[in-house]
Amino acid sequence: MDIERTKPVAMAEDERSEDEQSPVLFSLLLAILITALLTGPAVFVRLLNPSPAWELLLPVVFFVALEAIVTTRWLAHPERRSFNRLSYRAAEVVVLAFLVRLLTWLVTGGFPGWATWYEYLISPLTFLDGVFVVYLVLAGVAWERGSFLTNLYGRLTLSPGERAYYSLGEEEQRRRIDRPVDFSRPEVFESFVRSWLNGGLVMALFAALTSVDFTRAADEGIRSLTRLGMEPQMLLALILYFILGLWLVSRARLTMMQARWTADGVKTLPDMSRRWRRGSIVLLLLIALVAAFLPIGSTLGIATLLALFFRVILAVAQFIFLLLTLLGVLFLSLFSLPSGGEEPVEQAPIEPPLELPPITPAPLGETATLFAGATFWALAALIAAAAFLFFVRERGIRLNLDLLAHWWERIDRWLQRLWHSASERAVTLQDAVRVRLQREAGTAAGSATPWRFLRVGALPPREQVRYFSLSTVRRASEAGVERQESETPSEYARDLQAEWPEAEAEISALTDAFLEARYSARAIDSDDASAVKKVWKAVRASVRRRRQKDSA
Amino acid sequence: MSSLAVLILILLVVGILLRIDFIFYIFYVTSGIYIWSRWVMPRAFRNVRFERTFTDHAFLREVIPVRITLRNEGRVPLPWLQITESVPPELSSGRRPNYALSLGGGERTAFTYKVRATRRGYYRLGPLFVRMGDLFGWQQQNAQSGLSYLTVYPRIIPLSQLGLPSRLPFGTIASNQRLFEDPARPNGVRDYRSGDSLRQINWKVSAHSNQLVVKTLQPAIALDTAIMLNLSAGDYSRRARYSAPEWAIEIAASLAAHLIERKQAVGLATNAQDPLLQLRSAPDAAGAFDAVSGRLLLAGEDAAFVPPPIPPRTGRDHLMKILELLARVEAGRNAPPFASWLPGATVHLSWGATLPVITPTADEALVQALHRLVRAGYNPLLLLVETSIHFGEIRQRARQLGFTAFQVAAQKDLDVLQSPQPAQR
Repeated sequence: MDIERTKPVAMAEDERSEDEQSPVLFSLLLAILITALLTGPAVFVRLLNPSPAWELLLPVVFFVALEAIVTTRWLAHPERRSFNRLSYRAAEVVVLAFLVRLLTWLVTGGFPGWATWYEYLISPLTFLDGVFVVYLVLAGVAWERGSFLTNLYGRLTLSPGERAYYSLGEEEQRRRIDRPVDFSRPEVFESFVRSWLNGGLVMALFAALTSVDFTRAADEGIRSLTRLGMEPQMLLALILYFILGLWLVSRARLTMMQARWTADGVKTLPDMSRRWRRGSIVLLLLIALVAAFLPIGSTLGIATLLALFFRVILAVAQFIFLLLTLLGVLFLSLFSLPSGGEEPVEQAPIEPPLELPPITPAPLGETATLFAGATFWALAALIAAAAFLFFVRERGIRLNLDLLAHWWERIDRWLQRLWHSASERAVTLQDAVRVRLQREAGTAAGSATPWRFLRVGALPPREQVRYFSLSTVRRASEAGVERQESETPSEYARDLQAEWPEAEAEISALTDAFLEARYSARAIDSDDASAVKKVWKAVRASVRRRRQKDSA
Repeated sequence: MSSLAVLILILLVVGILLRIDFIFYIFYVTSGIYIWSRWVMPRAFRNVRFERTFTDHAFLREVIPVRITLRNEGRVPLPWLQITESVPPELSSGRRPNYALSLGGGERTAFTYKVRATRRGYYRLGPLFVRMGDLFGWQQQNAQSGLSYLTVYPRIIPLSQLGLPSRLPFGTIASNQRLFEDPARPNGVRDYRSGDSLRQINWKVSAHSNQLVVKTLQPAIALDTAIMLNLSAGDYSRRARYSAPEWAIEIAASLAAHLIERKQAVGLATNAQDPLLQLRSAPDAAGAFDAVSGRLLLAGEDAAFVPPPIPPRTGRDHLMKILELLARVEAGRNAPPFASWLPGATVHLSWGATLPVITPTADEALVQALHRLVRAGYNPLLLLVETSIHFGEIRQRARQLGFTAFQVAAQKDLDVLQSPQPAQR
């Protein structure tokens, strides 16, 4: 068949679809569209809570949207047909959430200190601070929009299998049994356009929200609600969203039509796609230019009239609502009127129900809380690491396990050396102390029990209290106030108080604590032990002063 | 798609109630696109003109180029048009024309595809389905162009030496009979040949040109030929109900072409059914054109659909007229009986006309009818298109009744006719 045109054909037609011809441009445009869509919420959050933490919100949204688009296109490749997409996307979300968390720490003043980490360990929910949640929500929406729109766009395009099938002759097509499954591309296109239009409604809503000064209203009341000028970011986002969105809708339409034409065996004339692209750009720019010169704003007569019209409608609606409310109140008041002639029956007072004592859950011990937190974070870290490895591995980035094993071996050897060195130093130190103590105690103490190094802080609180008391007995015995075997702790305390009257209260407190630790079943925690330690230190200081005085 | 209109309305309300001037700009842009798609584009579509150009008559096995021209007479460019031409399957010579294109303001694009005439008939070309739309999917229109018709003539078999018998001289075809010429109707002059009468010499011109020339005269009586074609389906045997009528039509077309080529006046009368008459009587008749072949077919029979006889005339235009009718006619089951129809069909013919009667077989009634034609001064010639074991008897009977019978049952039988036959009296 011959074709003649009044205008010469410039180039041969590329049978590939629009986004296949320029994937980078398409991905960028779609990511910009999604970023423009989420600019409204971002500006709104910033207006509600002005903080430098939001500076990177839009770049993060753009990055996440772009990543989602690229990954969706990557997964749509026929080579990844047998891929477990759900797992991969879950891993992708975990990795993105982790990156967002790192970024939010960066924008909120650096990484958390040990105290914050300890807090995360005790209470994992504190990990989700406000900034992170906002970043996470907007990044999540960007990811969802990017994946959804790219998926829709991908369905508009002919798959390689479809293209191969439709390139066959009619006879060959009839013989083949792998006819592509036919589905309604117009419905997919409708879905794409509807998604864009719904986004437009969201944009309009946030354009309205960001033009109202809510912070002032929160401080001074709803009557002081005033309008703000629109943020420059919001202006840019509105222009980008609508102009770019219309252009993408036009491209999606062309993609859909190309797919349909190919399936129907319609031959597309050369340079048609180029004309379509050029025509849509020219039309959009032309209309945008003309719109720029049109009288703008609420000062238009028609706008004033419409505003008046809406106010009248609002007033009428309010009046009708008031009327209905009034009628309702009058109707209900009929039932509440007192019925004359009948004596009100006095009812017996109802006894209040018995109040049961509240059941308070037994407080978890510190160790249990730490264990639960550690378990949670260990699991979280494990999942994050697995997700990261899965995510990067399928993208062709392989970890060098040999290198990792080598480094782990080196670190292990270093730790072992460190441990041996520390152990040897501890043994040497222990021997030196023992020799020194033996020398100080003289030969008379040679028959005494050999001294054993004891780390008090490592003992349980109950044992710590016992240690403090027994230590005081030992020090007092060395100072000359020995405890008789028949003496009870209270009797011995009176001897000590007589000898050190300045520490009378402390000795009494120490004795009481010892008795409780020795004979009571009450739980003694670290706070109790710390309190007893202070008392013990005071008693020890008094004993030490006496010994120093005696030796002097 | 009214969702865009809803969005535009919401933008307007937000802009007015909150007095955000920039929302008005977005409102203008979206409204502009919407108006362009919904208002400008439909008007631009009206400026598209379609034209189908081709030779609407074709001989069998001829390849006819069909040219479709699309012209955008407006200034607004049309982003896309999809055109699909409906081509009868019997004429199609490949994939049917199916194009998508864009058309700029004032631009013209033409496509040419070819159809192959494989079977006689009256075919419809088109309609040309055109689908047009905007860039955003908010407007789409369907249109279709007018219809065109193509007539494919029946096959013409060359009969260069067909010598049909005639009681009177048969035009200028060589004949053993004397030629009667009208001295009052000179036709021209020619060189003298041996045997020419001295009375025919034009002495003045011979003296002037210094060589003997003789006058040529027109025949004294116009000797016409009227082909009588029997297409009553009931007269054809069941085994040849499809092929024999087609063969009869081809013989009629071949005879007509042969005689017209010899500058003879030829007419045609048939008791067949003309589907075109039916189509004209009921233009909305659904399924007039066969969905499979694309050919105009007979939907129902009626005496009104029997075409009127074509009186004998000379010239190629007249031949085309005969061939057009032969291209369309179909054998009818309820056609009038040929023997009773024949006398009525010959009343308008002049005395002495030759009547090639093409029929599948000849019963006694038909033989008697032909005999009456002989007695009326006509020169019937019986051509039987189906083989019959009784042909010898029919020929004998025809000879006794003063006319000649031939059996032309197949291509090889035509060879009998292609050699000059002695005139029978």
